[in-house]
Amino acid sequence: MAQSDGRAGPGNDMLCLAAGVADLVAEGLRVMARRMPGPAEVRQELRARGELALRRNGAAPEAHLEVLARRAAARLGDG
Amino acid sequence: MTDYTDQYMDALRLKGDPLADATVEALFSTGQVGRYNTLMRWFTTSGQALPDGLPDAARDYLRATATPPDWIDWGVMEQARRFFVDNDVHVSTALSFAAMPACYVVPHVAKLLSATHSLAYPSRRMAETGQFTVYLMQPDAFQAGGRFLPAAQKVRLLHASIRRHLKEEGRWPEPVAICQEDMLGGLMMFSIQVLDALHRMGIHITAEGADAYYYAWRVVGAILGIEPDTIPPDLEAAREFSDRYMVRHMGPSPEGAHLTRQLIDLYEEVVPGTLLDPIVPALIRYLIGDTSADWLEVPRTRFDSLIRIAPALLGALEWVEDRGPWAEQISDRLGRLVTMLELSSLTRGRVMHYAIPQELKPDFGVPSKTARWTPPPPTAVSRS
Repeated sequence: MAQSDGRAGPGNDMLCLAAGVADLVAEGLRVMARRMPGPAEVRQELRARGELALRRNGAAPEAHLEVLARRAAARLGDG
Repeated sequence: MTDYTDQYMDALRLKGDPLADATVEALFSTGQVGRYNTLMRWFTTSGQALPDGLPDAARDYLRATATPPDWIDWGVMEQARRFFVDNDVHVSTALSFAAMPACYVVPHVAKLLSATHSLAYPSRRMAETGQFTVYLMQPDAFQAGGRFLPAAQKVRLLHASIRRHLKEEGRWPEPVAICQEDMLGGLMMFSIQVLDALHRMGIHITAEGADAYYYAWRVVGAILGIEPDTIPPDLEAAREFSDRYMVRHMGPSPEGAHLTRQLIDLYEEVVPGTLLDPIVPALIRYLIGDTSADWLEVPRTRFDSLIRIAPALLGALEWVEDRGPWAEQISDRLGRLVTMLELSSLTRGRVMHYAIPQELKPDFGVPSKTARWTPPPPTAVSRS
């Protein structure tokens, strides 16, 4: 028999559990959506990381052969 | 440590490879080159009986050079093999995009390669070098059944025959072609300069791995007829020799530019589609630097700046590999597949023979693309 105050009886345990899980997931998604950055922010973040990565690699020493080639070029110029 | 002065290096330019030179001289003077080549086609593995009817000079040479040097340390060779297995794709990439252009940026080496025509068809040279390296890094490379030593024995005679042809035809301005200094220079390109390229690609290698890889090439050098005492004993000495050699000889040449163009075309053919074609020149330019790339007329492309993130991408790949054995296994298998595909596309499934050329051009020349057969046009047959 259904109860008048809106509470489910013991036979509806499974229903209540399922509803609880669904509510939790929905709440989680709402929180995540609130915290998730927009596409513009994602793009900005990636760009910043990319610039840092390029700067890091750009700061890497020159190709060894480049150093030698400049010395050889200077020698060719002298000759 | 030996002081690699100009005087020391100049002395190396006057020396060839007496044992191989004498063998080739004997084969040519008795007209037995053809017989040698025919019989040697079937001699491919260590421990195999020498073919019957082999000229005496060749038989003596093959017996004298059938074993690796007695100072070889098998433990270090095994370390080198593991290093190669771990880095096979990266090492192949460094060999193709850094070591080969390094050969071309030495004008007299570029001229030699052009004169022998072996690089008018660069895939043949690449196939020979690639297969040679793969043979070297097999676990049984030096045991009975291994293919490395016979290949090395044949390559040594091939070099000696080119030396002889160029001298006979008076086409070489110096006393000795493929001299000891150039053989050592080549050894540096395939060893320490490949390690330089790996470093530039951001590949993490251990000091032991680098030492072992260099050690394996020292062994190869001795087997290929370089005087063992002159081979730089460690990476520090190799750096010194390699730098001296390159600064002494680097420069632009029409032959170098021509060979580079062919190398780029070859790899653009191997990479499917055309979208990624500019990656080939971009990678070469990144690895050898702008000055050499300009000498070799490597075209500038839109990938030139993008290629700078290659180390970051390779770093990401390494991170994935470190996640667990399954990721490493997948990556290893993919790597091996890429190397095998690369090699088989170059060799077209053939076993490279390393025969002694009887003459230079006809043996090394390859029909051009325009020589491809096309069906004859329709004949003007009148209707009956």
